[in-house]
Amino acid sequence: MGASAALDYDAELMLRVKDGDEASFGLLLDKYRASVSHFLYRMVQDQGVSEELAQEVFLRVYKSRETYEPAAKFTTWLFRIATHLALNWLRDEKNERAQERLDQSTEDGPAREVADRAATVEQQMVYEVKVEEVRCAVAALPDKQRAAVLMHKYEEMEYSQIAKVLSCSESAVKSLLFRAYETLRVRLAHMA
Amino acid sequence: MNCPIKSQENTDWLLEYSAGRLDSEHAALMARHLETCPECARIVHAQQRVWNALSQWEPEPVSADFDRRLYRKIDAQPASWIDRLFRPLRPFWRPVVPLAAACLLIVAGVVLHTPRASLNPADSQVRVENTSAEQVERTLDDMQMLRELAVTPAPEESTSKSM
Amino acid sequence: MGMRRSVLIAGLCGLLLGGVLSAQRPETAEERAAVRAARRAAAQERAKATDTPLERWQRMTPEERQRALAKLPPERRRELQQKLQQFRNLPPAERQQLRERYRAFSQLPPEQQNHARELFRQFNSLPEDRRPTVKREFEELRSLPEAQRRVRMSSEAFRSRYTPAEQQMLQDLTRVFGSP
Repeated sequence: MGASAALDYDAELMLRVKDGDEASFGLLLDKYRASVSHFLYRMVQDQGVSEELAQEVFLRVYKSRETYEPAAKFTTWLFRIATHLALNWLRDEKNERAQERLDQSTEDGPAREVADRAATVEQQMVYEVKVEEVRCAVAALPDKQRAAVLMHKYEEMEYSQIAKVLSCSESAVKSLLFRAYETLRVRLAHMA
Repeated sequence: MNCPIKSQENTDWLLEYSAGRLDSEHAALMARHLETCPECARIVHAQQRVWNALSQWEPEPVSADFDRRLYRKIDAQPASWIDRLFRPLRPFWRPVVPLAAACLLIVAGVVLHTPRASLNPADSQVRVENTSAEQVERTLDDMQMLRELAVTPAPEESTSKSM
Repeated sequence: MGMRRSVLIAGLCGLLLGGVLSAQRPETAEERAAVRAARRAAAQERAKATDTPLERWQRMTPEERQRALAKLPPERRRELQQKLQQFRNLPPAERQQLRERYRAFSQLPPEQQNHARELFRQFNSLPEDRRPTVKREFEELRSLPEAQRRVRMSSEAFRSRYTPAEQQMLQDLTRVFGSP
């Protein structure tokens, strides 16, 4: 659910941060810490890196407080910072990281806690296999398509917002998303 | 309605319909279209599978020390010029603070307006606990009732029910 | 001499002011963390007193909202999303007025709230052609002082215009929702 300009409480909070109110920064952090971190994780698919990038996002938000102007929705601005950091990191690390990620995907990692989902070990394994397929399918998308899908699916951002984040037109975003989902449909067709 | 695939118009409706996000008017149009268009029906069915699969991908929780590390970075930011100027004098100034406050009584009222975290109680709202969809439903229904009857309720003097 | 003294006093005040300002800043990282935590806790406490479910909902992240919505059956989920959209489409002033009305409503004892909801359900179950008439009468009655309201409701004209059930409903509605 997006919010109209009059209801952009987040922008109001950010204006208070601009006025020196650190508690408002804390409230924004509380609200967006998880979604920014998760967005970055799904983009770069490395837990440590995603948290470092997420910290950089909030650090930049804090450092920009004195010049902040609510020209767009707060989430648009926030995810523009996050997306640019992710795309830059992916561009810089692409060749080096691609092989590492594929290797890590088959290593024994910590068992994922799946509260309310997997009652048995078998169900847990089935779940992990499914998640792995989804993860690989998303990782295989071109960077901008991946970013668009993540913002559309997990952040419920409107097309106009995604367009501002990716600096393109709304129709370009719709086309980008349709192609991305088409790829995912083919790749995940076997999943029930 | 025109077939989104054949006309390449409103293809986003297919995505939004599959995600359950299309408004009721367009959802009804789409539902009727899907009854007669196997191509769109196939896409919607496949898209719903993708949507459900994506929904299952839950990342790890954020580290417990995320905030601590972030604030360490924030605090490591260069201090303001006032801080840099007076930091060496701090041990000497602390005992003098009460005296300084007395001397600067008039100035303090105007100048010592350092920004505080004094949020207006009506505005300083933050999620303390998650809210269920049913609670939101109930709230919206109550608001609809208050809107339709154009009332602001007051405490009843008698609570006897006639029903 | 007077000018020099003024400049000296101003300089001393400036020095003292800078020292006081600087001395107010928490010294260590732990102190700063404690101050931040205290401020955030204070903000959260203030919020507890005034938050409505709708405001808490708006402050949830999209993922949390999605998880909450997923617990509803698809049709109810769609209906809720439409209701949220309708609320969002209201003019800001009307949204604010509704929020204030809702806050007043939510302060009522639960029994009274349920009573109001039941009355509204009854009102909505009236035949469609009767609803505007009963609503207009309700608005008329609310605009009258208590004594006049009683006179009107016991009049022959009132009794002949409304069924016994409608008369009772109007009585209950005016008692629950009172005067404007």
